[in-house]
Amino acid sequence: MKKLIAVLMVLVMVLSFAGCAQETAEESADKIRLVYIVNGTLGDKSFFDSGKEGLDKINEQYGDQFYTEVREMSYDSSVWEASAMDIASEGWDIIVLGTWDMLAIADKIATEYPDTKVWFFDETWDFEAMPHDNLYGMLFAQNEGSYLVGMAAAKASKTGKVAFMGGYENTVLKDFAIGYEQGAKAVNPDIEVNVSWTQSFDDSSIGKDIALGLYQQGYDVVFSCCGNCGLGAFDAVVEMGEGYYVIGVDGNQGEYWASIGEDAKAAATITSMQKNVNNAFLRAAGLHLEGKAPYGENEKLGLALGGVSFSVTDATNTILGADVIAEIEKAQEDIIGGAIAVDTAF
Amino acid sequence: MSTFWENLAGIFTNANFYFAVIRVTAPILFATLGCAIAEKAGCTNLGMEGIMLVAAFTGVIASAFSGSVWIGLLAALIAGVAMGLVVAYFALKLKVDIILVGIAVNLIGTGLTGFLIYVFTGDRSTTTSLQSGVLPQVHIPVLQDIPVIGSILSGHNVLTYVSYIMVFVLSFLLYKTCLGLRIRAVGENPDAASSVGVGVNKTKTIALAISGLLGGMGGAFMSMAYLPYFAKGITAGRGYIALAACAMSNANPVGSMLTSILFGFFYALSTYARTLNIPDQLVTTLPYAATLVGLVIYSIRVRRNELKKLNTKE
Repeated sequence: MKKLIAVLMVLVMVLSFAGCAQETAEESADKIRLVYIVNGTLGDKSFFDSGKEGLDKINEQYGDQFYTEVREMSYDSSVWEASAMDIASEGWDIIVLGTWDMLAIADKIATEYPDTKVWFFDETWDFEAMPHDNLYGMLFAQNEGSYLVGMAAAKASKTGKVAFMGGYENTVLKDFAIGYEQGAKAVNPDIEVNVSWTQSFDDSSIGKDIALGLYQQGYDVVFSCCGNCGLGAFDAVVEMGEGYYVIGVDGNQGEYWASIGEDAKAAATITSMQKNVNNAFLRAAGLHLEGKAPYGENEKLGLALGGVSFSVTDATNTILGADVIAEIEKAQEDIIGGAIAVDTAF
Repeated sequence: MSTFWENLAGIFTNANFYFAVIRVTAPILFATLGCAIAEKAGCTNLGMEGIMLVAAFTGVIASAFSGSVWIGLLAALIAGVAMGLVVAYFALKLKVDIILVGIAVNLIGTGLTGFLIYVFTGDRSTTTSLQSGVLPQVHIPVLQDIPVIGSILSGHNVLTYVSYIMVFVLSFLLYKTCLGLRIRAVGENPDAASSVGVGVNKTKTIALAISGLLGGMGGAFMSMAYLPYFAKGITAGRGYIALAACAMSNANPVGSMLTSILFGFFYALSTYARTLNIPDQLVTTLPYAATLVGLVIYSIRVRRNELKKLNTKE
């Protein structure tokens, strides 16, 4: 019995390894090999999934020139460095990774593999401290998009109290909070804006509890901004019922809920502050092919370049109405044109 | 600073807060009771977290595929008992250290459910795409019409009530039945119990199965009441907190309820205290700090009692 199991295990391992090797060798010949390293898991319906969509778009548009793969490293930060370095050693042309947690790891990759290009997204790269001419820093002006959803929150709120729920207090998330507060105060200078940190990006139950706590203390709009943890806010808003709203992040979450038949969640989602990681990746792929990708530099993708946007769904129309949406669109033009300067945490 | 006190007073005068305390206590209470009965039989059920995860996941899958939330609940309970028996088999029959079995069960619970989410849904983190059911809420007649108290005590999920009822069921079982006597005897002194013809391993196995059943209820509560779906790591450490709560209560059912409520209180406070303008990093540690303080108080009390006993003997 034991022997049989051992033999079976060996067979399974050999076969699976053989399978992996074949696939990569055949498909990626002569193509630009791009790997997207996720320091978490897909399935957050927002940030990381949007990046995956970006790869799908690249395959669709430049499929003959790119070979792409996604690697998930789980939320266990202790394995990130070893896993990322392993992946980097496989000989990729482009490695895509991002977020504050991965700064040091990206620095290491860019140093050890000077021929590999690195696209680093969602955090300012300090090129003075870590000069790399093979690294392209992709930033999102989340403060600009958050300003717009902040306006929406203030318009929808009846209690004059709105909340922001972020994961960990890092610069990017503070940038969200600052824009949100400024946008809300632009509509209603007396509005009270609560900023809460859940200390989690993956625990939906704590996300739900904190959102419930905020709703029950009179904050009738919550901007839920913490990955999987933030999904809990949508359960909370459904439990609270009429008159309570939530704002999604990164992906178009209202549209997502509608697409899987979660109508109650979709109806309570005023809008989403979309961080279009997908478009940013696609754009970078195009620039790379043209030889115009700005390696050695940071690039900020705001409302103007489509890096962030304000989503409009059926719920947006029902909750806010056409006039308010027009007002927000006007503000969007003002931000692009420079008439409104949005504060930033950077 | 005045807004701090105002907001704090606002929390404590908010009926919803007390409702939340009762709600968040329920899963911890199930797990604590599960640890308590195992502890009484002399087995430390460290695998509570893993048992809850497996049960929570099984419940959602069974509910989604059968279309009945009650079949889901039944499946979760069966999964819980099965996991309890797995612990018993390895620890009692194969004589593996029960702590190691517990750790293994926790690791399996996390890994296996994470993997199976993907197998069943193609999603990596939650089962939101499956149409699984939610156990009903119970509105207690008469009670629900009483102002304030009604809004705190009525309208909870059916399993929330079950969790508090289980305190009395377990007290009765442990202190008023033959099985309870055997369980306690086996836990206190297995040799003495075996010398009067009590099957030690059999009794411990029953205790672990009941422990698994309670863990199964806790798991079902997480994925079919607390949240309407299974999310990776949904129990978020409640199985470990239960171990502390169980130790503080000396594995006594009523004590377990009190320590669970203590923990639930601080947990609910930590979710409400986001309005107090104290750093959230600090607020998040509240329940854990409370557990630590509780353990210290408990151990001081035990020491005092021991000293007292010594003094009276002299």
